[in-house]
Amino acid sequence: MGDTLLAVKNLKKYFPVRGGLFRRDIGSIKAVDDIDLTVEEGQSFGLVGESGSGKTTVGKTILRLVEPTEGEILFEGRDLCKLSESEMRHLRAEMQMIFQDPYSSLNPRMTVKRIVGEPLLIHKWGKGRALEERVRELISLVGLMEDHLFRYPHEFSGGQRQRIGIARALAVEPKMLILDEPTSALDVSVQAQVLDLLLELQKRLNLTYLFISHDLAVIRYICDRVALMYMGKVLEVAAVEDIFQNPMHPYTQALLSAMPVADPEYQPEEIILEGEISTLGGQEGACRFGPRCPARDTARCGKEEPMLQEVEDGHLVACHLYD
Amino acid sequence: MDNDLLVEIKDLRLNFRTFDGISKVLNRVNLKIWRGDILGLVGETGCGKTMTALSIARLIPCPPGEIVGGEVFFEGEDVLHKTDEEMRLLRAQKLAMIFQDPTTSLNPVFTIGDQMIDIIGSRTDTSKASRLSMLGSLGSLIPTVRKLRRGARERALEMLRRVGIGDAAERIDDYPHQFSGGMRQRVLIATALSGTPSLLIADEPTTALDVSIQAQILRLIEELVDELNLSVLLITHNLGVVAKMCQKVAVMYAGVVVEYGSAIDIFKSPKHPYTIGLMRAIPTYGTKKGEIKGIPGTVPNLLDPPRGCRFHPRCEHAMPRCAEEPAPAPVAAGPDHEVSCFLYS
Amino acid sequence: MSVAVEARGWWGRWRAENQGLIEEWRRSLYRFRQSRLSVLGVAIIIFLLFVAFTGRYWVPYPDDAGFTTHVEIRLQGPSRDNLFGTDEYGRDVFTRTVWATQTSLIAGTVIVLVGGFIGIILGGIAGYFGGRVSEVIMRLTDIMLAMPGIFLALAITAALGPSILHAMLALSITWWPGYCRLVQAQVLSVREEDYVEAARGIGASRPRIIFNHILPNCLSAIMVKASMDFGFAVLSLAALGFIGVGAQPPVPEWGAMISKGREFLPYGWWYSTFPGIAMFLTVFGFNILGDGFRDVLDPRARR
Ligand SMILES: Nc1ncnc2c1ncn2[C@@H]1O[C@H](COP(=O)(O)OP(=O)(O)OP(=O)(O)O)[C@@H](O)[C@H]1O
Ligand SMILES: Nc1ncnc2c1ncn2[C@@H]1O[C@H](COP(=O)(O)OP(=O)(O)O)[C@@H](O)[C@H]1O
Ligand code: SF4
Ligand code: SF4
Ligand SMILES: [Mg+2]
Ligand SMILES: [Mg+2]
Repeated sequence: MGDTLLAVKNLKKYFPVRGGLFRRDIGSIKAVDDIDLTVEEGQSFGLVGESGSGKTTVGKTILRLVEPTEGEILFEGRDLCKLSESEMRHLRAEMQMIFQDPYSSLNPRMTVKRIVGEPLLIHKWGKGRALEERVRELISLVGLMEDHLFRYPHEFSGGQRQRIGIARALAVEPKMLILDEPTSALDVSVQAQVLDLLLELQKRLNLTYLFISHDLAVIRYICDRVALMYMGKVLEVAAVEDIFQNPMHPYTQALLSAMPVADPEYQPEEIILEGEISTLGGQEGACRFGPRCPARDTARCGKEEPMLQEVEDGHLVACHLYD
Repeated sequence: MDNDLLVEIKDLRLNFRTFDGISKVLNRVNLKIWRGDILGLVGETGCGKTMTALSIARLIPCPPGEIVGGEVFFEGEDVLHKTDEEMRLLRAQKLAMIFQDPTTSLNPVFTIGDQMIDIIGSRTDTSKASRLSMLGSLGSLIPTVRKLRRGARERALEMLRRVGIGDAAERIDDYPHQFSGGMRQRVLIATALSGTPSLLIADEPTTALDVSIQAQILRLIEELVDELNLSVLLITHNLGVVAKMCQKVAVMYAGVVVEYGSAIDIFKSPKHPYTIGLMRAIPTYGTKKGEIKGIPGTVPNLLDPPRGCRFHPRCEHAMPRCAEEPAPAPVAAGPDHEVSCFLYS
Repeated sequence: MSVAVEARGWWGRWRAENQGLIEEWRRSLYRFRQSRLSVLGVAIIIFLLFVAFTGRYWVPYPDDAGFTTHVEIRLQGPSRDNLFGTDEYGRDVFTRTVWATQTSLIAGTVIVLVGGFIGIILGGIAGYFGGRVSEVIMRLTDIMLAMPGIFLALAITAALGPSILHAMLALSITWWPGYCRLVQAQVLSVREEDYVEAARGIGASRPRIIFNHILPNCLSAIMVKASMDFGFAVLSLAALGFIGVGAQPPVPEWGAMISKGREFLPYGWWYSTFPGIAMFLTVFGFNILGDGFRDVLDPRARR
């Protein structure tokens, strides 16, 4: 592992909730509520959580596709939040995103060649022949064929579309990819193809991944280090094996137990959580997971929000059980 | 568990007429569902899982669909030759169905209660039911209908409580958008199971849900199955869910059931190269980087499916006869374990 | 389906590069043809276009389009000589109805193009930039929509003086609010699509996002509206003619003809009826064409 490539400090993103007659702000959704992340060069950093926990918002704020409410995003030591719009546009070549839904992330009115060639045009990599060469190279890099070049997205399967998305992201040789559930819309057999492709590309091009997913098995397969999010907060961060061998947070434990295992003979006793994740933020100054927590110790959990702290070497947990 | 056969599909073939020609969507599907069993139906997208399920309820849109061969038996009766009215009653009384997307299965402009009452009403009495749903809540002005509605509402409340919506009395008049995804799926299950069905068709009931909610819903289905002595056809992409829930598994590929057997057989000693490929494609606990393996290639175009075994272009064991001879017929690979592959015949 | 990379001349090369597009057109055409009604719409429109642009060369009495009088045959019913009868000056109604087709179609085109253009620009700005600009544009649109455009057009023509050109001009500049609304709503929804986000993610500039990603994806809705609208544009022009601020005599125009014919209605039914049928045909034809477009371009029909 190398140096720190991306460091996120105290990142917050609140979305205003408008309501009433005059559409005044009547509150806010705390989609991301004060999180810190450190991603090292060449690493695959996983971000897990249920839907609505704020994973996508973290990814998009890092790219400044949504403006953060507060916090610092240091990429190679530079604070992205302080860059002007045009500086940011240039920097976008360094960090690319792959979207969750392969069906809506490609412009239906552009051919594959135009889609993959667009970043090259924008970042002035070349035109005409040179551009076409590069596009062909990218297309074969992600395992598509040349006669796909002039077709439209709706002619492709989900897996193929995701490959087109990957080709577009890799066009200008970024250092880092933010992958927002890149395989959750795909079949298992195709998911395996795409995951393999991602691993191979990472090795070949020395990429750093921020890999967002709700599938713990996929995270375990791809990532080196994992952060678990719940309602905009990080509840646990550790090396991937630590999380799976020794989950500490009650939420992590429940999620791991509820994950279906593809083995009819080995079915661990599962912890079934009550209720559902609520997006409007929990009680102020209490543990957000409290209402669903099977290990809740009412006295402290209801009065004080636990802080993320290092409990073991490189293993951080936010829970009063470990104070 | 009494072992009689609830559903039997024999050599079912289904075509769809499209712009580019005739799409051969199901090609000799064979499937059995035993009473009290949960049968898992797995396979890649577009391989015909939903269409197989819909054919039991005879809900395939015709046209463009066209059943060109085979038979479907439900409780020993031939489904394909019933009249429309008989089918409607069968669907209302014996079949329960829930679908993948809990948002689109509910109408956003009616309350949860109204929608449940209409469906429950249509189960109990056909003629009154049509009046019920035609008039909507206006129907309450007619005394008999009002009584029927009240009965249906009681039943709806009972079912909502049964599926774990505790404050059912307060929530029943809410609109679907006021419910979360998990709760909507509960509502659908409650509605589906409010009659006395003998088969539940669950088409990817948890695909749109989170792991922790999925666990809740699966637990709920398990409980209801025990309680009501249901059989279930569970369609899913998630092999983990199959391993957890099902006694029997059928694996489909490009419109063919390529392997059928008990869950233990399928997971522990898969025989068909496609099933083996699927098993290798999923990362589980302890899978190291580079250990999973996708199945190369993609699902074939059903307009012009490969001749012979439809899997042969992607199969690592393909032999010349796989492409030349007609598709392999199912052969026994053990007790209650069938494979359609030339390697075993 | 493989592309022959060794292109046979420029035509072969063009085909290879646009293979996707060609395929898409073929599919659209197929889907279009599925609906009989829209095929009928196209047939009607082709017929109208034919009449409009060749009519002057084969109408029986080209002079009757101007100011001629044949007192001896005034207000005759349909006969072999005068298929649609004659008007109060003895002019052939058939000739005048056919002659008016061109005027109407050209006016309709101009109105829809100018109105659409203004609407797309304003709606695009309001949709993409949002904020205060959008607020101003949209309130203006609301005001315009609340007040029937035809009144405003009426006021404008009244001020400029009645003539068919002024009527066209007035309708053109009052025709945009519908488009503005539509485009704004479309842009708002397309703007949220992942592919637009993706374009921002690769560093695309604003104009590129608007012109390459957003507008092309609003186009189908605009086309549907335009084709449906065309008939109404023709109708509105006729309405102005009917009131008397549009086409001035002796220029043949359907609205003016219907209006004039009304005076002779109890007995001279043919005078108003045939221009009326022509107008109905135009509105009907463009409407079902719009329906057909909707079927073809409906994104839900894709995939
Ligand atoms: N109305 C239709 N017209 C033409 N083809 C259809 C139609 N409905 C389904 N098909 C085709 O039938 C095949 C099987 O579809 P089906 O919905 O059963 O797949 P599935 O296995 O349920 O997939 P998924 O996992 O995505 O739900 C597909 O190839 C599909 O394209
Ligand atoms: N543009 C937005 N406006 C308002 N709320 C938003 C917006 N984007 C996301 N949210 C809210 O922020 C929360 C986190 O969303 P997201 O980051 O998409 O979660 P995840 O990716 O983990 O599913 C959700 O409650 C979501 O509704
Ligand atoms: S702090 Fe308390 S409520 Fe929160 S997770 Fe830990 S034990 Fe549960
Ligand atoms: S029949 Fe042949 S091609 Fe088909 S799965 Fe068996 S070995 Fe492979
Ligand atoms: Mg997300
Ligand atoms: Mg399906």
